[in-house]
Amino acid sequence: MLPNKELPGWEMLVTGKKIYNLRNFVLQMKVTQTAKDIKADKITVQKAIDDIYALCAKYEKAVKMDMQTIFSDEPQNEEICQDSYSL
Amino acid sequence: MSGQLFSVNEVKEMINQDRVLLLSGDESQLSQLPDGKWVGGTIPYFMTKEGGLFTQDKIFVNDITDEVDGFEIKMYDENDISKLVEDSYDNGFSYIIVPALTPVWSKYALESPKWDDIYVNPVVGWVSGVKYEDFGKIQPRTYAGSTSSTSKAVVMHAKLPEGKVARTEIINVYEQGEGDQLSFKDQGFGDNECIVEGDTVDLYKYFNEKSIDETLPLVANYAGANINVGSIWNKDAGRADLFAPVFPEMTYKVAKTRDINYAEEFKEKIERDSDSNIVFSCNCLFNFVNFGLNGKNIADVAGPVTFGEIAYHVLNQTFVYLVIE
Repeated sequence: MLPNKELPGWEMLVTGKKIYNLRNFVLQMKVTQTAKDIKADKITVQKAIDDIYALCAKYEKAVKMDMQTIFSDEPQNEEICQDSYSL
Repeated sequence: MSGQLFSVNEVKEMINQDRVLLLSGDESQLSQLPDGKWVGGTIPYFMTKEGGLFTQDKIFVNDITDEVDGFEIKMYDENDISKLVEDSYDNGFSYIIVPALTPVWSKYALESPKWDDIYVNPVVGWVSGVKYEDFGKIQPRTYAGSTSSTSKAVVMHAKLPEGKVARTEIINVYEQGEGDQLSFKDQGFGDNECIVEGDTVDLYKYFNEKSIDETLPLVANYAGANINVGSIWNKDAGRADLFAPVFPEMTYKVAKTRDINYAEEFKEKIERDSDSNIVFSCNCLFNFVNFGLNGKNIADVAGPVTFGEIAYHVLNQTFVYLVIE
């Protein structure tokens, strides 16, 4: 089961406010696209969360480790990569 | 892991048995095949369990008959390739082959990152080519059954049985190096210019002044995914021509090194899917040459070795595979 859609981690993920070193390929590509689209006002944050949530629901098994990374409170799971999300 | 080389007569037999096939091979072989439930592209380089090889006498077959519940084959040119996503099944995947350095290849490479819903279902495939020494003299081809084209992409939209899902993954052994951040003013293929520390510089001169290894790609970081942009240097014209597009919103660094034990790195990265149902895979001709994969078995992977790979988008120097689970 995925983390609750209301958790702040989803907004952090889609907006690029927090940078994660993700492992699942389609999630990596989709997150890069949504951060860019939000910045360009092409989509709302809520639409981005809905889209990413649906993608993660489809690939729940494959994104399990990424979900742990995003929704864990441990500080070593955060990594700032300034040359990604530089949109 | 799916796929192996067969003779023309063996493939004809499969086609006559109504098998649903993804084919790759030399034009001299594919052009002998009858119409049927198959798509194909030209390339004479392959990875097999016996190792990497060059052959113009065999056809590589991925038989997906038992994996799919239906399919539709379409050909697209640069004017309608954007319909690829809307033409796909609600739950399935789209397998695409694009002829190298054609308008449809360029259009797909540049525009697919902007398409809505591109990531809803996997788009996986490769860029067709020819024997490297013949490039420029012989045109790469794609096949929708016995109908072939040098200018159109072929796509098999595949429908999955209920309860199944497809995902596409990549393995890229290259990482960003520690050097300059490069960026590009416009989306495109660079036009031999880039921006370094605010200054526009000649890309070919920059590479040479920094003594950069010609085989190293530029690498961008997409939320943890290392995405390569390879280049071919034209020494006579003094140009570095890019083999995948660059985008102004991304920054790039030259890859760290090619001093990599490819087999070891690869085996480590594919470990997570070692028990998965991999129905298709392909690798890049640059990897085949640069890492000396001719004659080498790499983790029992098998598939065409291509002029570019597609995992949603056109990639370079990357291994791409499709899992159905």
